[in-house]
Amino acid sequence: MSAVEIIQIVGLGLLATVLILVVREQKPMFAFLLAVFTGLFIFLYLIGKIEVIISVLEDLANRSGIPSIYLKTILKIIGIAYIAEFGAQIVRDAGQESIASKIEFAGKVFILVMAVPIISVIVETVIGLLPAGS
Amino acid sequence: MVGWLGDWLRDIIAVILLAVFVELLLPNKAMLRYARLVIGLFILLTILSPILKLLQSDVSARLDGIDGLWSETAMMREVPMTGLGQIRRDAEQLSEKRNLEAAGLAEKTLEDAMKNELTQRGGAPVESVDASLKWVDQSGVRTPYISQVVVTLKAAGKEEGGEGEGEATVEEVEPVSVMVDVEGAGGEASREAGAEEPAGEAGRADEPPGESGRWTRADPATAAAIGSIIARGWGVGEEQIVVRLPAGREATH
Repeated sequence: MSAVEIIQIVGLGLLATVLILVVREQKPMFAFLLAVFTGLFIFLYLIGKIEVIISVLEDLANRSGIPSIYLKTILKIIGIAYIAEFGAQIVRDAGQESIASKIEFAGKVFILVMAVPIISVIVETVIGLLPAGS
Repeated sequence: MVGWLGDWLRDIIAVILLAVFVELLLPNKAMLRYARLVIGLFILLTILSPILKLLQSDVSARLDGIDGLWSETAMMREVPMTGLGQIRRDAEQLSEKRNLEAAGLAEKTLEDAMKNELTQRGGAPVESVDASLKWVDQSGVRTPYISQVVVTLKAAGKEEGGEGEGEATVEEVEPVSVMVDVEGAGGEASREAGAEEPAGEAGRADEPPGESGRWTRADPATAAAIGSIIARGWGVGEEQIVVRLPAGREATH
C-alpha cells in the first residue's frame, strides 16, 4: 500500500519536474505555478496520512496522564512549522529569498508565543521555591 | 508512595516519547530548535509537577492561557484586514443613516412651516401637522417627495371653522390630522426610507389610518380649505392631504 503510494508521489514529482523544465524556457510563470500546485497536492495528500501518526500520539497522551493541553500545543507547533516551511519553500522557489526567511521568522515567533505561558508557570514556580523576604 | 512515583515516571517517559515523535515529524532544522525549546519546557514542567502540586498553584488554568493567547493573536491579525467590501458597506450604512436624519429634519421643518402657514391663513386651528417623506430613485439619485400630510385639527367646543376668527374665540382645538399623499415623483419602485411614520402606510387608505375609533374626518369645507392651502404652498396633491378631527368631540359648526 505505502509502496504504491510512494511510487505515485515520486512519479508525480518527476513528471512535474520534467514538465517544469520544458515549460520554463517558454513561460517561467507557468513553470512556477506548476511547481506550486504540485507541491500543494503532495502536501495535502500527506496531511491525510499524518493523521495516523497524530492518532498514535493522542493514544499515547491519553494512556499516560499527560494534560491534553500539552498535546494540543505540540500539534499546533508541528502545524505551524509545516505551513511556514511550505510557504517559505514556495516563495523561495520563486526567487524571493528574503520573503521566505520572513515567513520562517513568523513561524518561529508563533512557536515561541506558545512557550510564553509555560515559561511563566515555570518561572513562577521557581520564584515560589525561593524563601520569601530575602 | 511507590504508586505515585510510578505515575510520575510514566508521565515523564510519555512526554519524552512525545518529544521524540515531534522531532521526527518536524520539517526542518530551523524549526527544530524552537520546537525543542517548547517541548523541553513541557518536560521540565512534567518533572516539576510534584512541586507544582505542592505549591498549589493553578497550573492548568494558566496553561489554558495558551489557547487564549493564540486566539488573541488571531484576532489581532484580523482587525486591520478590513476588506474593501466591508468599508463600502459601512459607508453605505453611514450615508443611509445621514439621509434618514436629514429626512427627519426636513420633515420637521416642513411640518412647522405648514402649521405656521395654516395658522396665519386663519384656517381651522391646527393641532399638529404630520408630513411623511418618501424616497424615490431618479436616475440613481435618491430624492425625497412628500407622500402624505396629515393635519390634525383641534376639536373645538364651539369653534368656528375656517372663518379666520382668531384663536381667541376658539376654546380648545383638538388634534386634526391632514394626510397628504403625494404620488408626484413615485413612478418607479420607490425605496422607502424609514422616514415615514408608522401611520403612513395605513394612511393611504381613504379613511385616515386605524382611526375609525379615534379620528373622524373634518367637514369637507374645512378640509378643502386646508387642502388648498397646502396644495398651493407645497405642491402636494389634494388627495394626499388628510384632515382629521379627534372623534367623540367633534367640532361643532
